[in-house]
Amino acid sequence: MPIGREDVLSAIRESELLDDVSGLRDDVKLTEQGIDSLGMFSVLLVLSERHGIEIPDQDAGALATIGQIVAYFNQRLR
Amino acid sequence: MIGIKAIAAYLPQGRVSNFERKDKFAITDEFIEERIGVRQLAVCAPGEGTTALALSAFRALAEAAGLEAGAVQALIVVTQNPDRNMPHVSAELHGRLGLRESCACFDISLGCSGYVYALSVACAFMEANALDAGVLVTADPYSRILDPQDKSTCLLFGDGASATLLDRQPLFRPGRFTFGTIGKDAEHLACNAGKLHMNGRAVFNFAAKYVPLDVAEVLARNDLRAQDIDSFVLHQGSRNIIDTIRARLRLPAEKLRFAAADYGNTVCSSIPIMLADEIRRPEVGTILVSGFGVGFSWSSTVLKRVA
Repeated sequence: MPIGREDVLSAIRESELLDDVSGLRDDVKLTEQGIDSLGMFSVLLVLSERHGIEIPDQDAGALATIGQIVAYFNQRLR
Repeated sequence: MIGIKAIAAYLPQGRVSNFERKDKFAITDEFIEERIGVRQLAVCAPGEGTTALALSAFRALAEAAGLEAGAVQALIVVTQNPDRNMPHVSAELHGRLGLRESCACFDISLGCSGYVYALSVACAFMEANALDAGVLVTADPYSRILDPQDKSTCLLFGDGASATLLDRQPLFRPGRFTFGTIGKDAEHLACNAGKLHMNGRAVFNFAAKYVPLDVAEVLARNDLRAQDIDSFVLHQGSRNIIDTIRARLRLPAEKLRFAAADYGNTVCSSIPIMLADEIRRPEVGTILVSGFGVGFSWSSTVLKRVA
């Protein structure tokens, strides 16, 4: 089952990284929208556990925006 | 039964402020306070090595507990950064302290899981050999292996040491232990060519995934529930790791604290440094301790007050 931006937003909420995720843009790096590098570890781990997908380091480095994360998971989940 | 009678911590005098490195590493006050949680690092003085740290911790314990050096029948040192490869640190310490010739001395090479592992080894060794008094020392100064340009490590690790007196009239006794290792991932936290290398994401994933599972396992092995524990003393890797584990275990903030803000991650000494304070709090009767890190290794147990 494909994932959507709401899945990423819920991972951000679950990781307790931002109080309000409603204004986040899909095409801007999350590190430029208030989530630091440690927060990105947490978001990717939550999604990885939720969908049973290991994310190699070489892939993780390219997952900076909500759009990139959604596209990556949907490609891996095909 | 053998258990913990007293614990002394030793932190060297030197400090390095992370606030003074904000520009160099492009970090903010919030990142220091809320994310890594380490304001400053304790650092050994020039020439103050592993044996010197261990000696200071032992002397602090002897003074606090009224321990005579001649009474020590076993001396165990946990370190992965001895001043030199031979002889073992415990033998050097034995000589500097003038311990009796019949005192058993050996080192254990483990990192962040080392104190809990060594507690099990030391208690079992003393029971098996009918020894009445032993000292477990931790000393692993990382300042000598840190790369000052590596943001992922040089803002986190501090120097420190501890000494724990184990005897037959203890304050706390350990219950059943858990142990584990994910050796295939051990390369992600290693010292190569004299410098520490850490894959922060791999270490974070390891701690966030495995430690909550292990806490549940050690509670079950000791027939306890999380609400039976007065204090969770976990390896103080960083504030982010402690906060993440606390959230995953749904524990209240006062039961699982990050306490290393003013000295940093002291590896195998992080648990005993914190425990030294916790065992003095009369309201604390049951403590869960869990060490995890180097080697992607972990060990946990529950300490129960008996006096």
